[in-house]
Amino acid sequence: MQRKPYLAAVSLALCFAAVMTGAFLLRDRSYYLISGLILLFACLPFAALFRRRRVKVRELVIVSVMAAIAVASRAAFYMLPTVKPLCAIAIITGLYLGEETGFMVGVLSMFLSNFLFGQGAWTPYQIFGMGFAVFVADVILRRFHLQEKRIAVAVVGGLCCFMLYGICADSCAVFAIAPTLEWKSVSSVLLTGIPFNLSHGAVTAIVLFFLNRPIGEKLERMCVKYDLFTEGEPA
Amino acid sequence: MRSAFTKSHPVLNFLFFGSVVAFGMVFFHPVFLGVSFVAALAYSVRLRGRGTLRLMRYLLPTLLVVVFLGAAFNHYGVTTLFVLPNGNRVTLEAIVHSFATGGMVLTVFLWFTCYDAVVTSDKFLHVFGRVFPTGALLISMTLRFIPLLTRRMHKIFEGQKGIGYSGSKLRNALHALSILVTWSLENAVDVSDSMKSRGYGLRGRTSYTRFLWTRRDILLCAAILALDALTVAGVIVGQTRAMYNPFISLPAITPFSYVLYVGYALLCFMPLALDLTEEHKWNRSR
Repeated sequence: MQRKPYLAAVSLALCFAAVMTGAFLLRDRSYYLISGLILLFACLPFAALFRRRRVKVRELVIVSVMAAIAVASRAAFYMLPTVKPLCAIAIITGLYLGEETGFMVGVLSMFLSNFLFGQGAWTPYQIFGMGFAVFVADVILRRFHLQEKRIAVAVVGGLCCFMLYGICADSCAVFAIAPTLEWKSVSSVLLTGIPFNLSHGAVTAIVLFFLNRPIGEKLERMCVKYDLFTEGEPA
Repeated sequence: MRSAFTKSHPVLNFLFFGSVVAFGMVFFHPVFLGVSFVAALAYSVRLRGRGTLRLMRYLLPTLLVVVFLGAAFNHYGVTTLFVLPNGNRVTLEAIVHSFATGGMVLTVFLWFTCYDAVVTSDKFLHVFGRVFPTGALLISMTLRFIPLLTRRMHKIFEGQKGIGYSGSKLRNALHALSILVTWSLENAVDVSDSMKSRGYGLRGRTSYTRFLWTRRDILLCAAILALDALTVAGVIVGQTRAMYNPFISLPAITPFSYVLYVGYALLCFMPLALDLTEEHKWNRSR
């Protein structure tokens, strides 16, 4: 897959413009709006990357199905309501279909799950947090060829979910509630979020531990059978 | 509830919510905060009725907690109201500032409840489908898959129950998820072949939309943009600034401030006014 460095540059320029607008036009008081905008801009290069690549129809539908499974997986655990395997499903997808695909599935499923449970100012934070956590976990695991090591996958995935997604999603509350950005108020908001994030990370790790291989084998089989998500020329 | 604003063009809806949410997240000035809050609350009650009132039962205590925490932990400001036993001052400035912060969050939250009621997913896709066709297709496809897969999931559970599956709940759920993936991935290939044979990706394909631009939509769009420009002008001259630290300072009120206040109120109350006018006309015509 070819990379487009200028897209990253455009995204950086937009983020810079947002920060500058915040600093000069709005006198540096609007963390809430500006941080949301930055996160949306940060998703652009990934989204564009996916768009540029002239994705095959089959790949598109598979991404869509995996995102839908990630959202619908909540229904599988209807008797255990705190279990949300969304992050785990996105990470598994990314492990076998490439980290960009994982990012796409994470972002898409988070966005749509927000559609079902209500959009809000927290949407960009959750979307970006999910995409970011999935992407980082997948890059680490794929770089060291750990896809098939259940324990490694569970640990790295769980940690990424706990740290990266947790901090991103909670920073929405930080920007909303803390009147001034001081370490004391920021850390107190983040600390309140830890029990919840810890349970989210643990659930992700458990689901990854048990489902990584079963789902991974199926994804691998699809790739081989239909020649999908390969580096070659798109059909 | 289907209202006049709900029936207007999606671009208009997005323009409006984009404006009020962006302004709502930025303004700390009490007049602007108050106008936006009242407008958001009124419109939300109009759209969602009791749902909003029930929501306020939770939101107002939250606001009070935010104010309480802000007042208890921030000690800036020059007007000391009283001194806590541990020697920390409780100041008027900290209370007012926390009130403004909490009010801002509440206002934005209320605007989003209106957004949820007005902008349905088909409107969202109509607006963004032109910019990101692949993304819009992905979203609409996934939106369709979610209920389908949820139903499949329940079928799998029924099947498990039927063959006498016992064991831990977690184990069953994980197993069901794995079955769902098998079922749906093969199915996805069928779906994509079907899409291809119906001409997906061919040039010159158009898509059907239910939304038409009327003259009223164009006029309202122009009105929103004009009011936005007016408010941004107010931001540039500093009329929307408010400082709470170390002392409360608001910009001097000039004739232009009144123009700004009225303009911002017109912007925020626009959908509600539109709805009420239409309802009034309808009732009179009967």
